[in-house]
Amino acid sequence: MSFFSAGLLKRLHLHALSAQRMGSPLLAAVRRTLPGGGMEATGHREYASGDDFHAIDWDIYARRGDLLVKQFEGHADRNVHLLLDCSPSMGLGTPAKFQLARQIAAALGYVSLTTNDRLVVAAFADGLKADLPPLCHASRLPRLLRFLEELTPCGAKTDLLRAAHEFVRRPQRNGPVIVISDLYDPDGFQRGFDLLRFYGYEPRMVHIFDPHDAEPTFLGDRELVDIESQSVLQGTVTERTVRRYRQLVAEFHATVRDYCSRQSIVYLPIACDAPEDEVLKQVLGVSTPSSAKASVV
Amino acid sequence: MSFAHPLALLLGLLLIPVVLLYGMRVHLPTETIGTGPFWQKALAEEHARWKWRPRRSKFSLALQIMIVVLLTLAAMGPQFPAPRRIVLILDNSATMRATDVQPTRLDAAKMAARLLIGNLRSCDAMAVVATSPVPYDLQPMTSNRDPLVESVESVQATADKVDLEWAVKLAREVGTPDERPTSVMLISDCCFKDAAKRVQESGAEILRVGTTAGNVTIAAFTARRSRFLSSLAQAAQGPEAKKGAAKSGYASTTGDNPHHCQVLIEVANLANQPTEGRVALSIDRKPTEPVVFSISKNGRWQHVFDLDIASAARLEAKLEPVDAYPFDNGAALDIPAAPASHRVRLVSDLPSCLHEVLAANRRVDIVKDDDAKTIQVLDGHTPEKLPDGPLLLFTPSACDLWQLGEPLVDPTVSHCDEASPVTVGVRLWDAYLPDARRLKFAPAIQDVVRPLFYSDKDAPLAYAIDRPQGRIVVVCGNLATSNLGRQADFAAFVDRALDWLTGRAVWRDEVISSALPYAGEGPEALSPADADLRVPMEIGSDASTIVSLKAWPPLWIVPALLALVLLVIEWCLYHRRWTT
Repeated sequence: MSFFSAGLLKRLHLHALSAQRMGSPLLAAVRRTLPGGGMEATGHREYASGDDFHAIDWDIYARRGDLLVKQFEGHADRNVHLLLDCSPSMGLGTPAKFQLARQIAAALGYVSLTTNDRLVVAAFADGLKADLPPLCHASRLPRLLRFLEELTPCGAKTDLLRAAHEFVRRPQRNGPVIVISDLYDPDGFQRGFDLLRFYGYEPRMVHIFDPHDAEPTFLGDRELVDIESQSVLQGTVTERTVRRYRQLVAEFHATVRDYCSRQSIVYLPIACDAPEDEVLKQVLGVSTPSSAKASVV
Repeated sequence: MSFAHPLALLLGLLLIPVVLLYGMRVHLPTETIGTGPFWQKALAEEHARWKWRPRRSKFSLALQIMIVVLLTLAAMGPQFPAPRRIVLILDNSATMRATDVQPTRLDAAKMAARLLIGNLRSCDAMAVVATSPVPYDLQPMTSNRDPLVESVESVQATADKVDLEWAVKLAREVGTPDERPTSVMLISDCCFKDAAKRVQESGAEILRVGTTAGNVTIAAFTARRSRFLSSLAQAAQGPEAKKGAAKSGYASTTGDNPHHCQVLIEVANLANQPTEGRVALSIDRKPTEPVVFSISKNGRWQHVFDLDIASAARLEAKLEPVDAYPFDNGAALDIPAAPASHRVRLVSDLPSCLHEVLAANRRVDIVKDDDAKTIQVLDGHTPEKLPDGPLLLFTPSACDLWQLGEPLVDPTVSHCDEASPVTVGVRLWDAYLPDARRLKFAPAIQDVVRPLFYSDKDAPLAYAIDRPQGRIVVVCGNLATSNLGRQADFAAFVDRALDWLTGRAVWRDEVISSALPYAGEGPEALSPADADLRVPMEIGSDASTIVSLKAWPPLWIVPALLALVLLVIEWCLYHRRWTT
């Protein structure tokens, strides 16, 4: 596990403890208090993919053949979904946006697993590209980290709608969906989020962006290769073009904010060149600087 | 158009790497982006705004090709108009000393020449030729301005005229060796005879200097010391002689003063307006009373001074006021002393014209006694043995030196021996010598006898005998019945005969003329025939017009600047790397 070093894991542990105490805006809905609590079983429900095998009531299965899961008081009976953007555009940035996205996913997953949430992690680009079976205990953290470490940017252009379609069709339970992405979807990210909301999911947005994307350092005749669509643009980059480009990027960020504001979606913009520790604090709600404070509307 | 450095055309080979580099430039620098939709939108708007954007790269290539072409053109050194080869003829004749343009016409011509030299481009060449005293080349063909200016400055005015044809011929020879077109340019005042025709035939380009200001000049300055007492001579020569004398301006006003001298001065006003002034005459630098003159345009004025000059003297005349050409406002002449008189003993029976002619001659003293130096003039008294000493015989008879021969038929003088000092310039046509007979000379003197007059049939009517004992001039025929005495030149014949008999040179200084142009004030005088200083304005162009001519800047600057402009445009459009 070279990507998640011991120092990072130690910091994750410390931040997770603080997050459990203070509460992360991204995981706030997961941490609600359920009736009952403790370790006493209060009932059963049908087994669903991702449920812990230890919670299956094997006695009922032996007597009646029904695969039921025992419910205990205080158990968060919800899935936390992490949708990690692994499109090629996430591989850009200094450091790469994808690296930061994996660290954020690890942090959120760590907190979720330590709080007995069922964690579902999927990577998407122009569809779901990788999938991790639901995890529901802190002991599964190594698997989560291995999964994240093995992820690489892949696929073609970002298609959040298609990914959402594939995601909602899976037999799984609703819950918060934390989308970690740069949102560079040519067709617009809104329809994907709308679909998640339509199917009862609670989407949250971690917008990772590269500040250098808004400040191009080149002018003149250029051949621009879109890393996602591999389309080639030839043209002369003039000051006018750069100004227009900046305007479009700014409009995009404003659009994202407005959309999240209108749809009451938790929105956390993260610059990829921000210090790693600060990012973890922001994501886990330990520290919320004004510049990158998660907005919960 | 021509080019100074045609080999620079090889720079055009730079087009090859330019095109190759353009081909390489098609592979644009690649930038990997993750925000393709934004860039696509931004560039799409830019493309929509610039309709010609698809041809932008080709436009860049066209600009670069034009830059290379223009730089090659500049390096080749375009020359337009074509390089000129000029042979400059500088008129330094006497008329160029005129001061109607300050300081002189020659200085104005030099200034025009300097301007021409200053306007020369590095590709032009010029040679300098001066016209006087004979055309000579001052500076061979060169593009270096310094020696050209120095050669022009070294030109000095002379007292000679312009030999235009010679100068143009020399100019063409100077410009010939290179076998490139050479133009001949003459800076002159064109004050020479038949200027318009000669200039047109020469094919030279003319730059005029000077104005139409006229010139007042002494056209004639002569003096006469008459050898005859005028009243008696004219009486002897008849009314025609009087009329001729009056017509020539030598009419006597002082009687028979033996020292009388008449001085004629003629002033010409070679101008387009009347002029007034005065003539100051001095004798051996002693001034006389000035004479005022007023002359109409293109007119002449004559005046005769009657002076009493006993011995040799120097006469000087000066015109006042001084005009544009002061060098012809003076004249001088040296009047020689009158020659010594002849002692003459006249032997004649009857009063005849011979006595009057001798008496009227100032140089003859008629004496009674006889000595060795006395010239004996015998009319009809020929002794049988002629005495020694000079003799002038009329109506001869036989003697020891000759015998009378047969009578001559039609003894009328038809022609003379022009080579003889006795009859040179003497006109005795139709002089009839009745009773003339041929003379048969003794063998001892036949070799020294020389006929003087001839009849129609080439019969001698007079002889000159150069014997050792004394010269003899004998005229056949009867002087008393002859009309010889009424001939206008009879007195002159006698005078010349007396000079020859005494061995003196024939006196020809009756009329003394000043050698115009007068060199007394320097070598810049003009002959009266060339004294018209009015510049013909219809010839050529005014030299002052070249002052407005500006030297052409080097033409290579134009393509070089164009290339620079295109380079800046191309760089701003395609290669600029900073943002505002």
